[in-house]
Amino acid sequence: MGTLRCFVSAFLLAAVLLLLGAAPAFAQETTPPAAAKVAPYNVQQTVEVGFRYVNMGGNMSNYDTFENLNSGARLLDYSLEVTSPDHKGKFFDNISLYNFGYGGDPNDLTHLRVTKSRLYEFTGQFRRDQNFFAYNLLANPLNPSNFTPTPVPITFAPHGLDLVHRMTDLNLTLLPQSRVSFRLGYSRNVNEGPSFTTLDGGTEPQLFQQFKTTMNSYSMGADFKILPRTTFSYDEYLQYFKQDTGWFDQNQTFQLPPPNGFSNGTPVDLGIIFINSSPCKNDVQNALTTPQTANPACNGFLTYSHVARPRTSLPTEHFGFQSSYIHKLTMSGQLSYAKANSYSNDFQESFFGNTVRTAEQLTSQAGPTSAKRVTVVADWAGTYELTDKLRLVDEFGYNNYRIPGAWNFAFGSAFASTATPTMSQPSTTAIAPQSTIAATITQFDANCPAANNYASVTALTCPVHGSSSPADQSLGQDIRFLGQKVKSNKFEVEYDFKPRLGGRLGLGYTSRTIADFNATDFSATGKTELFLPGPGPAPVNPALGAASAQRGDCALVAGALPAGCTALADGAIEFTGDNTDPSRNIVGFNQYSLLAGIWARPTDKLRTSFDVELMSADGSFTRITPRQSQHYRVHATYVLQNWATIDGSLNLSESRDNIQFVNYLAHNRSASFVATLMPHEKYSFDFGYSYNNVFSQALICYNYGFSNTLPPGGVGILCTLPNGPGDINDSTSSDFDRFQTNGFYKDTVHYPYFDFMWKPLKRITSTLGYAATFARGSAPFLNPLQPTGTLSYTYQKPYAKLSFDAGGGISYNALWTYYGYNPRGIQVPVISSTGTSLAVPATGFNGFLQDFNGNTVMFSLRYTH
Amino acid sequence: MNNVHSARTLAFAAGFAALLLAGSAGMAAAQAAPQQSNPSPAAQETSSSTAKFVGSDTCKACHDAEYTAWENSPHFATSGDTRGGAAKQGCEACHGPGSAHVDDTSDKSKIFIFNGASSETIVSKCMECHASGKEQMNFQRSEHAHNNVNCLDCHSVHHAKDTEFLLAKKQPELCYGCHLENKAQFNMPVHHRVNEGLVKCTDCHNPHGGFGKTQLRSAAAQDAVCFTCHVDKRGPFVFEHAAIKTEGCVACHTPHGTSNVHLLKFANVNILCMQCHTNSSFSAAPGTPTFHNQSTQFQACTICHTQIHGSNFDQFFYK
Repeated sequence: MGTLRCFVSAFLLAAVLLLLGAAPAFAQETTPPAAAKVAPYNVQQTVEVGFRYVNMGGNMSNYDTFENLNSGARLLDYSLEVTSPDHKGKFFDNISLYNFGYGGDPNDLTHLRVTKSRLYEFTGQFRRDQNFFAYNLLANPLNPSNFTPTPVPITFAPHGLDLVHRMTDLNLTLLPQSRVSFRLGYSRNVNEGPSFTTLDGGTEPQLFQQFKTTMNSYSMGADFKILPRTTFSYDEYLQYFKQDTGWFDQNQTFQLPPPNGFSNGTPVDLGIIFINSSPCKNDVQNALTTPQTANPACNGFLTYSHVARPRTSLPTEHFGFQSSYIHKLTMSGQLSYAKANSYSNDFQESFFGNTVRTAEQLTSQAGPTSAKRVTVVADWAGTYELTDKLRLVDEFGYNNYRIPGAWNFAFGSAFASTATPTMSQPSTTAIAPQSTIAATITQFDANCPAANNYASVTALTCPVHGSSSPADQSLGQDIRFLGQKVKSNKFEVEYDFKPRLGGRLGLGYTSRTIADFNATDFSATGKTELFLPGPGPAPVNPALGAASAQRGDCALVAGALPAGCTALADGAIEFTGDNTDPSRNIVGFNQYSLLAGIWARPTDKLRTSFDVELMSADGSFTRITPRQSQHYRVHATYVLQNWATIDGSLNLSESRDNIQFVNYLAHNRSASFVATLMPHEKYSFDFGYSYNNVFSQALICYNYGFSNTLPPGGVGILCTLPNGPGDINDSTSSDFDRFQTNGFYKDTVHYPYFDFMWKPLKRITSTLGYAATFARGSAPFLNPLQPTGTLSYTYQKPYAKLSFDAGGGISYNALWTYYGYNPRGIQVPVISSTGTSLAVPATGFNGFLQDFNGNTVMFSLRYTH
Repeated sequence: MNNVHSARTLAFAAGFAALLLAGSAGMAAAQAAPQQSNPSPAAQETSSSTAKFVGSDTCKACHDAEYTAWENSPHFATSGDTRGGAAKQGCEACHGPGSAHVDDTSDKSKIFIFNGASSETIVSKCMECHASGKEQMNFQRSEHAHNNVNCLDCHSVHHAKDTEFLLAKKQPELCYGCHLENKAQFNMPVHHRVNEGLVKCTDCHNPHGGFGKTQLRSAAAQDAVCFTCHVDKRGPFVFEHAAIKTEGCVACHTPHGTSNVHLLKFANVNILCMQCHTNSSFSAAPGTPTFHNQSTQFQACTICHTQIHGSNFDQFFYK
């Protein structure tokens, strides 16, 4: 009813506006008014304001994710042109300003340009992008169907966000046409807003994330045109980045039962994914309370916070040149050196809750980080004209970067004081991590005075560890390195067969060397891991420490402590060593390319071109780095008449890494044509069609359950791929849990559109248009409850516009747009009392439906003066 | 089956291209003779080499509309620049000396006219002044130049729809004129805000070419242009996701537009990840461990590996 009232009001408003404008219109000319003269300038302004009504139904989260155009008044356009016709303005010759989007639209822009001939050019731009995301692909968290009681369905996007991205760019060029000109620039890039993230830690809690990043960039440079036909340029960029994003758990929607060390009703977050395995078979102990009562033996977060403020400085020096000083030789090149320094000195993470697998109940993590990125880029290119028809072109490129990084971490855990940990207030005597290993042992000795008498260490006073428990305290250093050196050269011969026919043929070579290195070092002074003992029998061999301390890096190997582990006198074990990853690798390979192209303009009305690039490599870095690729492009434009043009193109890209056990194949094929017909000033017709087919596949192995049974409706055979370095269970029977299948994605998109303009009367312009995306895709489902997501859908956007020129620079516009997003054949998980199953949603909104359909109508008034 | 399909597609493409080019080449050859009888722009210049410069005001007398448009354009600045002499000033800086044309206005061959000139001639004319510009310095090696696209295919000196760069149409419609497949991508549900006017094609691509593939620009530090806006993804991080830095953002994302959220190449992120991270000795990337059980909670890798672009505090990109 409200919507109807809205539309009626809108039409009445439009009618009144039209009548007001129409009365004088019949006596006026339709040509826009001449610019006003404000000596010595001509000034012309255009403003368009309007009101948008939105009547949308269905999943509004999706609508806002894709479009986010809502009701309200808007500044659709404002432009200002101030021009000095004789270019004799005192401070400026031209000012050009335009804006759009203000008033609530997600995208706003202001662009300003001010120039004074030969003295300066200034451009300033501000952009605001509201990035809303709530497309829920996780409506079903794939919680097991045999859950009792029924798990709470997740009806939101776990990684939802509502960020506002503001980007400001200011650039000033002084003496732009002089032999020496200067540039100054400043940019500010701020992205901030509320958002959510998730964390791996027993369960996966949804964390509130107050996101904020800021980048300030300063630049200055100069062009030197000292030699004839030659320009040297130098630029210095100074960029400063800071991130002030904190994570906090504010999603404690369950409560703990009494007593558990707390008063009744202590809020707890069970996360969005329930394990449903022992010891907490049922995460929800009582669903009838408000809020529901959690099983305290399960994973849960009572509090969590993560604070870090990384800072990065990034100075870059850039030298460039261009020259045609040498007869028949044209050159350009650049040399750039950048060194980024990133550090974070105040990282602090704390967790309080229960992690069943590791028995951790309180953890604290901190430590400064430092990472650098040093980049050297050098490019040179030259074109030499052997004859009027024959040119030799060479391009050489060098790109070398290295990224060393280190994190001096301090990690401490406090464990449960019972063998079956539950979420509870830790005992006051629990061993909390201290600033040094020695302090922790002192605290342990104080709290567990009978530490050397293991039988007397009771659960009430000392931590209980499991075999998966990490060290009680870790002080170490993670060291990482990533680097790549790329050298490339491309040589081409260009030849003009005829004035209207030319082609090129060339060879390309690229050499890539990638170095990747990982290490965790506990060998430096003060770097060590401490494994404390817990209650239990006295060790058979005290020289090996207590049995409960023999875990992690100090788990016994063939009955002995591994290298670097030392049993301490009180039963604890210390690890001091270098956990350097033996899988460090340096990968090098070469890519060879054949390039060819031909173009023709047989008549003034027809132009065609064809390009091909064939690449073959003798190695790859990832499984989807192609060893062979082919790229073909064909393009043709034909002018049928002065008022009719057709354009068609074909773009085929194929890539492969189809060696045994990988079998990566991918392609992206598109074909499109567009026709533009303007037979008369009263009407024009523009239509086109684009076809795009995307395909990608590679052999993958995955796990489903812990048996040899394929998932219901699942795909695959037992995995036969050879073990890689990441397969941590190479020799165990659980390898047989892996299923092998073809991990593929297919998507075919049809995009037709048309735009028809008709001027039935001199003052009236009407437009009718339509654009639609028909996507039909497929992919394997590793879990039958997996949402189909965006595989197949139809997205239609017809529109109509009516514009009435009332004269005097006034025009009235009405724009109607329909948005119809309809996933097709989509099955969504439905959680019911009998479990979770897949179903095609019934007509109507059921909370999981992804569709949205509706109309928007925009009425606007445009005034030019 | 895919290979068969692929071969069929390639054969079709090759056949189509061959047909198109054979026809074009034939027509080009057929047109060569009349082309020779029609003096080339270079020849035109030669024929009027005895002409003298007459100044822009003389041109204005007959070409008032063109003059007015030019007067309001950045090119007007040449009229006050006396360093290059009359040959670098005003209308004649582009069209050459006009006295012969003034003497015989019926003979257009006595002055240089861009309409009908070859791309090479047009480009060389413009580059006389613009070759030194940082934007245009690589044009002659650009993809556009390789495909015989010249300056006037995008710019209109006298009838521009854009006062700053004298574009023949505003972006992105100008680019869509040839790159329709990109118009389709930018109309998909998830896309960069190009149609909305927030981002321009030229923010990421330099249509005049450069040293990057697909005429991509570089960020200030000579890394991916994506980091110009997505500054939090740049790093450097202690724990880098190597493929991002070595293979580029496009290893996982389709930048123009796609069906999938976050511009991902796949509808389901798991399969995208597992294409690299699967149990195989033929990859530098570690495989997924066996406890990543797809039957329960591991339905989206990024639910746990949230900091997938890089992390300072966790080697598995958890935080």
